[in-house]
Parts: sequence; structure tokens; C-alpha cells
Amino acid sequence: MSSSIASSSSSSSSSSKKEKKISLKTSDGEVFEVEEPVAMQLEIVRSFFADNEDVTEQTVMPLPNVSTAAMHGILEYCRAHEEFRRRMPEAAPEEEVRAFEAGYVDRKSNEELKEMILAANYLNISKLLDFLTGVAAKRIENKSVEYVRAFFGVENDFTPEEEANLRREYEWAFEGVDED
Amino acid sequence: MSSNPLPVTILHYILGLLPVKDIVTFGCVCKAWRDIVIDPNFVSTHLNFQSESRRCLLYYKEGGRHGGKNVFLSVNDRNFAAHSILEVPFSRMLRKNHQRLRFSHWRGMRGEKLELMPDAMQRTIIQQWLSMDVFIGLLIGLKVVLVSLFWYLILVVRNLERTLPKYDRDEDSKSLGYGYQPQVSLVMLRESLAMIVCYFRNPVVMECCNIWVMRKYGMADSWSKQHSIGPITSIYRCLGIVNNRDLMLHTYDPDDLVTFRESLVLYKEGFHLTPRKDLLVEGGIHLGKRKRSVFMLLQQKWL
Repeated sequence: MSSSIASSSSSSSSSSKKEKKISLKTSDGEVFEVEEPVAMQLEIVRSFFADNEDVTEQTVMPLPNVSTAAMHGILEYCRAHEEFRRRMPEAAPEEEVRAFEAGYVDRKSNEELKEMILAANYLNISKLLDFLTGVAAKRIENKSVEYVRAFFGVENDFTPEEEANLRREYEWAFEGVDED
Repeated sequence: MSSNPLPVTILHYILGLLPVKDIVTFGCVCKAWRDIVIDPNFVSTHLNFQSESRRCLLYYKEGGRHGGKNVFLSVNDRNFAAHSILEVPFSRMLRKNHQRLRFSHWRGMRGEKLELMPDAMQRTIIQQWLSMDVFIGLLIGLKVVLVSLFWYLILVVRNLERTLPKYDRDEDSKSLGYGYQPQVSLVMLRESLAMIVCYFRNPVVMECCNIWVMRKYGMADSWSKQHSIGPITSIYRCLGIVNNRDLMLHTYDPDDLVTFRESLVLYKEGFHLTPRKDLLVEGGIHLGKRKRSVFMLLQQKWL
């Protein structure tokens, strides 16, 4: 069985005329046909195909924790990185990557960003996760507590007295916070 | 409509990238966040994340807008505005007479030893600074000594590799831990407030030195011992921390300075540095009987 996997992977790398596709089904039922090298960036997909010997190319892998919108964003990122890698297998063109990443994330709202972080975490794409958490950190740096609550959709469960006490205790930290 | 909350591990990642000031502020977001912020595991994550960014401790002030508290700022070397303030818990220790901030400055040239900033020099700098209008507004209400710190801050930022900002708690300029008194310095280690305590076996030989780190930001009882170095016979004293993470040690040979990396790798820097193999470091909290008693003494006296 292991020999058949080896042969199929070697044939896919040698025959470039027809690329192998992997089907991924999101939580709202949409099926994505993803090129194999792109899909393999998703650690969860890679291990699914590596661990299960009885799956075939026709197998549709369900991803119940990923929405269609988040999947679009993630595939855009993974495809771009695959493209970079194909062009320059040795060293990624750093400036181009950075320009792509900046443009890519500017278009995302806070809500989309959050959803993608959750999806990237579930799909286990460490590179994307590092990148997105960095973006999230930049967006909340030097912001007010209220802004952060809205950003993460967190309910304030302190009583007014408790919060006032905390704020008094760490008064210095609350100076010079950016306007929301 | 709020979607699923982010898992705690993700929040660790995100908050780990922020400066201390933001972390303390965001402790007020909700109870779950409060727990994250004071979690020692989180502080470790944060220390690791910050180790590559070159924020460093620079500034001490007493009185002023913070109502008589002693505070330290850590300043990002690229941006003065992006600072964070750490309250120093042992304020009594800092309010002692003859306190001084001592910047050790090493130029890395043969024969030029470590320089400490003399009082006279501070005074000159103060005068220079008072003549500059730009910072007058900023500095009103601060004690005069602080002005020199601002000046030095610029110098330090320009010359980060060579300057060891630290606050020595000493009674007079002679006291470098002689007379069996432990020498205590406050320094910045990986963007976190740390304390170097050097113990002396006799007036010249440093017996060992311990590095304490404040594990929970803003909490006085969260000091814990991170490293213990020694006993080492060839080390004269511990000078401070360079590059925000490496210890700089002074050996008996006046030209011989040794930098000591946390990851146990000694490396050469500049001239006349000899890698030492006889240094021992242990992590975690492990107090020998005698060291413990010295620390108790320290606590009684100054904490």
C-alpha cells in the first residue's frame, strides 16, 4: 500500500500536464477543488491523507470548522505562497511576499481576520497563523480596553467596582492610549 | 453578533507580541483575559517572543505625574513613544539615600575599561539639557537627575551593543558589593524587569550571582529566580545585561570582559574576550541554604 502512495506522488510530480486535485468541503457544504501542493500546506489535510490509507483521489474531506468565506481567504494565501515557492524554490522573494501579505490583509475586516485565525488554527497552517496573529496584535496595539472588547467580541464580566479598582491599580498603563 | 471566542493558545500568541503596557491594560478586558495576563506561562511566552525585539529598560523617575511612584520605562529602540512602564515593587529600596542610576558603558577597546557615570558628568549633562527648550515641557516636574537619564537614553539607543543600563542599589560610589554585602542591580532581561544579585565570598571574589525576574507584570510577589551563576573564581563581578539577554561579566584581567548567553553558549565579543567553560548555570528556583538566608536579609532590608 505504501508503494502505491509513493508511486502516485512521484507520478504527480513528474506529470505536470494534469495536476492532482483534492476536494475539501467547508461547513456550509461548498466543495473546493484544490491543487495538491496547495492543499498539502494545510497540515490537517496532509496528515489526513498520509494517515488514512484507504482514501482515494475522489475522497471529499469534510472540514466542519471552516466557513466558505474563511476558506477563500486561506486558499488565496496558500496559492500565493505556492506560486512564490515554484518560482523561487531556494529563497522566497521577501519583498514580494511582504507586499502581497500587506495588501492581502488590508482588505480583511476584523471579523474576517478573526474567522481566518480560527480556521488557520484548525487547519494547522503555522505560517499563516503566525502571520495573522501578528496582524491582530498590530491592530490592537495601544488601543483602549473597549476597542479590544469589540475587536474580540468579548463580554466584560467585571463588576463596575472591580473594573474601577483594576484601572486605578494600573493607572499608568492607561495613559496615552490611541483614539479608537 | 459575536462569533466563537478565540482559544486561549491563540490569545497567548497575540498578546505575546504586545508591549507590557498593553498587556497590563488588557487585563481589564474580562476575567478570562485577566487570568491570561497574570499567568506565569504567559509571561514566559511573552519573554520568548520579545527576546528578539530589542526593547530595553532605560528610565527611572520619582514623583511627577505618577504620584510619587518609582517607575521604569522600557523603550523600543526604534520608537521612543512606544514605551511601557513597569512599576518597581520595592520602592523602599529605591528611595534610599544616595541612590543613583549607574550606566555602565563599555567601549570595546583595549585598555578602556568600563565607565561609570560620575556625578560631575551628570551635572554637566543636566545643564546642557536645561538649555534645550524642546524637552523642557516634557521634563517639568521631574527630578533633575532624570534629565541626564533622558540624555543617556539617547546614547544608549545609539550604542545599544555596548551599554549596559542598570540601576545599582549602592550607598556610595565605592560600594560594588564589597564588604560581603550583596550587590543588587536592576536590569532589563528580555523586556522584563530583572534583578541581578551578586554575592561575595570575600571583598574581591564574587561567589555567585543570581538573576531574578518579575514573573507577573505589576505584581511585587512574583519575583522568581531565573538563573544562578557560579561559583566562579575568575569572575570579578557581573556588570549587567547586554543585547537585552546576555550577561556581561568582568574577569580579573581588566581587559577581559566575558559575555555570557543565556543558552549557555559563551562567545567572543570585541577584543580580549576569552570564552569560559567553567561557568555553571542552573535554571529554575533552587536556593541553597546560605543564599536563601542572604535573600531573606535582602528582603527584610529593602523589599
